[in-house]
Amino acid sequence: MPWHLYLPIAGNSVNVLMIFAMGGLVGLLSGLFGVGGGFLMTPLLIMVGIPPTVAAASDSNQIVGASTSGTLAHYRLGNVDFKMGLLLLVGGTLGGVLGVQLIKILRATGNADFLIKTTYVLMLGFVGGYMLLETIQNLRRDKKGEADTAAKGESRYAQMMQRLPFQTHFEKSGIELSVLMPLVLGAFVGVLAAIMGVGGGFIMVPVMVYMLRMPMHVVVGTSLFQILFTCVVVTVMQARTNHTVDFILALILLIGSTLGAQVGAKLSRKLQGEQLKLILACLVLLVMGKMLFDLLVHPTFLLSYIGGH
Amino acid sequence: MRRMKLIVLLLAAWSLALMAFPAGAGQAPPALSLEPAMVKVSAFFDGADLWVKGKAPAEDQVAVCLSSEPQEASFRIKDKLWGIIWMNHDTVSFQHVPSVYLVQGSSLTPDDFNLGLGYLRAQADVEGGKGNPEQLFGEFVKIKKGEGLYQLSDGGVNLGQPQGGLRTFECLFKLPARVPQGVYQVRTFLKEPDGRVTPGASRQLKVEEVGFPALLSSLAYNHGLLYGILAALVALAGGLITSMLFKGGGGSH
Repeated sequence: MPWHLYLPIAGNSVNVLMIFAMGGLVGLLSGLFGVGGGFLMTPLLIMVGIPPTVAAASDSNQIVGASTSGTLAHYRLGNVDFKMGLLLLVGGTLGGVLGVQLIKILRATGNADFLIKTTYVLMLGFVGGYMLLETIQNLRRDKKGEADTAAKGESRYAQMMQRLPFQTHFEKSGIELSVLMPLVLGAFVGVLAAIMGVGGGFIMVPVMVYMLRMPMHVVVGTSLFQILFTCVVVTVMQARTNHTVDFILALILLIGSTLGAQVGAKLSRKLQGEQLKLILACLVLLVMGKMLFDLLVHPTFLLSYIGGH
Repeated sequence: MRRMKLIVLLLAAWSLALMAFPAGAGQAPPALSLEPAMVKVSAFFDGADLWVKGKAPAEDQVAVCLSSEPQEASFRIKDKLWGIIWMNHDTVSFQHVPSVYLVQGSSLTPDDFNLGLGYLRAQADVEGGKGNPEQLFGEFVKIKKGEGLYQLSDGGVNLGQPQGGLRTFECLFKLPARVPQGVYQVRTFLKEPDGRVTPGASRQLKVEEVGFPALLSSLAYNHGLLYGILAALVALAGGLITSMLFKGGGGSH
């Protein structure tokens, strides 16, 4: 069959067109929402016969390309807040290191798997649910034309943020914030991302929208900028220590996803922020539903390989 | 000097004798041929068809078995926690199990040649895992069959017309794309009319990466850091190029 390519690291052959299409789809979402798409891509790759460790590592390699393309596209549209991105990155790296240590301890006590799965489902459920509710409320409010401002609890949160030291102006986002906020929140996302083994884009985006109060369009560009750095580091580390990066696989995904990311970035300009949030919320809840289903229903295979084959 | 000559002469005589009387002198085992003789895993590899052909005594039934060296395989076991959620919470390892095991027979089942799952189970040790070893082994076989790495079929070996006390046999193995690199044993087993099973001819089959996959594997496993940096750089360049292409195409605001 001419459309098959053999992947030496994954140790299996795949249909090039199918992998290309998967890359395109996830790239589109990435450009649209500023998420790396790892939470979608890895399960898809496992479905077509790629070992889980290779799927995750090769996906990070692919995200390097997609997020470069996406970051540049958003940069041209004036949507990347470099200052905020770098602060989140510093926080995220510290959090990531902490999270990896935490996982090591938990693995030793034998509770890692349970923690990872429940964190995943709870985070996806919480993030998706909150975004969905909030967006629906906003859309309703817009329809009624009510000009009522944010709820009392939220304004108290804003007051608290203003009282923090080291206030700076973030020009691109058009907000005034304490430097501590992105650092601490970045670290928080870093810990979670390390525990779950994902880039963390789908947590970072809501954190930027709701806790840092950045405009949605800047959120997407800034998130992609940050993901780019994370995934470069992850790719090199995985290749060096675990030999799980399949370059051929990453390359096919990459061609699909960079194209998808460009289309996504353009499309995100056409959609309203609220619409974007609504779609992302539904997507996150869908993935949560799938994970919950897998946890509750009798699995086809009770055994799974440890490490490679 | 004279002693040297004697040694050389003796060696020559010995090798001549070896040629004249092959191993298992008297009754040479029927030859076995493999097509292809070696499986090359190239860039477009998508599994391989392997033909095994040979000759066997006319009255015997024939089974052909392709297997890898027995080794250890470790797995996580999913179990129901608190009666609700399925979670990995135990591990099990199987000792002395081949990673690949393909068997076909002529009209008889693999069990008739003592090559079936019962034989594999008897060879294997199940270590760890709180569950029932038989059930765990069943799950192991289920995974392997799902991957196409264990295939046991009753038919598959075609027998030709008897000719001078012998008849030809042939069978086709479908090696899946995920067949690991390595050296495999292709063995034949003959079941005589009285029910006795004896081993027949056997050959080795090599499965090896060639060309681009071989190059990439060697880079990935021997120079991991360089490979990782290159992979990241190519991805970066790919992203840059697409981005530039799109800019050139217009439509940027």
